[in-house]
Amino acid sequence: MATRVEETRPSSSLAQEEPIRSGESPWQRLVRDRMALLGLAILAGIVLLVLAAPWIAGQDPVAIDPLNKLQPPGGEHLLGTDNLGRSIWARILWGGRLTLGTATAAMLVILAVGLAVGVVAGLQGGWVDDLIMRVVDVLMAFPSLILALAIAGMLGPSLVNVLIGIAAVGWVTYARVVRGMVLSVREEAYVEAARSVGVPAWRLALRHVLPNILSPIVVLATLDMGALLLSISALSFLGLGAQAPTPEWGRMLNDARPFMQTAPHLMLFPGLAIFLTVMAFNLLGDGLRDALDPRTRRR
Amino acid sequence: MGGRLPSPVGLPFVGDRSQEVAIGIYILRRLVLLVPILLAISFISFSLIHLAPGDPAEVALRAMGAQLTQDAIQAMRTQLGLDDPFLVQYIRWLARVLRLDFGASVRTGTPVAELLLTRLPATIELATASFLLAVLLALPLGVVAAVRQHTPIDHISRVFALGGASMPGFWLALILIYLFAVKLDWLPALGRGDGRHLILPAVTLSMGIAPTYSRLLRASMCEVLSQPHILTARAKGLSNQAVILGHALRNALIPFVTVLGISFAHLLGGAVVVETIFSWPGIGKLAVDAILTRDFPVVQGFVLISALIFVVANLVVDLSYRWLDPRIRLTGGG
Repeated sequence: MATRVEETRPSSSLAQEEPIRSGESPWQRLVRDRMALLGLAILAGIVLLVLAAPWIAGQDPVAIDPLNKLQPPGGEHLLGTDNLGRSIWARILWGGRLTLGTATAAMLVILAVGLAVGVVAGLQGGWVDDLIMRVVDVLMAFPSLILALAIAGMLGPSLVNVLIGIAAVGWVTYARVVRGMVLSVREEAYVEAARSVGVPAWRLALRHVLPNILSPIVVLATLDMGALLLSISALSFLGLGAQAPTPEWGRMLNDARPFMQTAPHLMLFPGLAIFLTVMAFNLLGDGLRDALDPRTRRR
Repeated sequence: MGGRLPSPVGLPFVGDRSQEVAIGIYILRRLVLLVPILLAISFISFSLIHLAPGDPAEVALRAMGAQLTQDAIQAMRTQLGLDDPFLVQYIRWLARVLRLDFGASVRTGTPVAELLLTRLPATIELATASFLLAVLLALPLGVVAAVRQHTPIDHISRVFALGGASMPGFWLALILIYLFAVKLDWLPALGRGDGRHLILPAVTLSMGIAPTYSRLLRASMCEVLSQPHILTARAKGLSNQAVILGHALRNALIPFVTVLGISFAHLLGGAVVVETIFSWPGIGKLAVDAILTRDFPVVQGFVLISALIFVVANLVVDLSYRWLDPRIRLTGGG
């Protein structure tokens, strides 16, 4: 459940090995990867569904209807109703907006901070680099979920605070990876040339360094989105994220616990939603990694 | 830390006295380097309490259920030393922590060190069981998947890896409780008692790491199996079993050791969720209860202890990796 991208992470892709064809673009390789396409399709489906929530949810996700509580799936309510008679279908759709939205926002913050810090450390070098790397070392000395839990917990229960907690520990891996890439890009002839004609550091970073490190970072981010979503749902499940009556997948699972015996479907659908979304991100991430760098393909 | 692979360039391993001295110096150097990291960890753990909105004195009084009068708040501020500058507060706190005094729970008044020490054995029991279970699952699956590449067992190992990486631990826990405690009534769902209580939480926690282990072991085995010494062993006429278990597996396990450090983060982080669901009385559940009741000294102590365990575990993993792989020189950074 760690939010960090692990360098040792093995591929979880189910794709069959196919010969690496020379001259093939990354996009062509991705399109040939059936499992990555499956991930993309699942993800696209989920995103479309949650975006269409206002039109297809059919019911207000927080509207209480005690006469129709704990209805099983099927019938009038597609996925049944919860203990307060709220439509699970509506809550899954609206909850998906919140869960996916928070994960995306957290990833954007992590990327922005990680990229900025990594580029500054790599381009600046010297004591700035030393200082940044020591901070990174210290933050990496904490088990990430625990530090995120403590930060979010101290700030008080809310989804925004979960986002802050997750982002506060998540940026460090990116900063380290980006710094490493910047250090190698910095030695390239075109960067040397740009620097020698007096291109300012910020312009060097934006025009010459960032475009060259962006694609591996996108792969890392996609691979990491699944783990990020799991961490956010875990903290929400523990009661630190969205508060009642707001629908959110992790929170919905926690709310379902007391009704496990009488209405197990309450815990089925939010869990399935998290599982499918994380799986889609993992499949797509694996596919993107293989497409962009065929050398990392599994044996 | 343990996740970082040391540079595999190396001198041949010489088992003489100079090597022992080199090992001693290396360990000493690592221990000295640990001091600033530990200081920084303690500083962050201490600072956490200041993230809480509002006056910490008021927060403490609220947690105790006391009345928020001006006098009570001022008395609490004096008691907690909040009127002193931040750095003075930190140094005073650090001096106490070095004497293993982490303060007291604001709810119960019990010393935090006592709370953590009482709860730690349960977490260690759960983490150890989960780790052993994960290895027991991953070892045969990883080896067979590597030996029988592209067969159904290899595909099963892939599905297992994908499923494991995508499965929310808290959902798996609820499903296991529903199936084995509620429906079949085979196993207890909550609390700590005999060995049967351990099964469901340990299975849940192990599922967070077993798939990673099995895939890493497969990749590592594939690599080793293609190396010349394995061909030599086969050419000598050794049986397939002897080659795999005697030669390949031993070498394939070395890179596997590097992920053990990361596993500690998984086990500690996962324990927080799993212990809460299964009411397992470990430090993870203690921390979540403390967070939800705003019992900050307990949270502070928990974060500090978790980071300490993680740092020490990573150091041990790193040292054992170097000890296991004689190709690695003991003077490199790590």
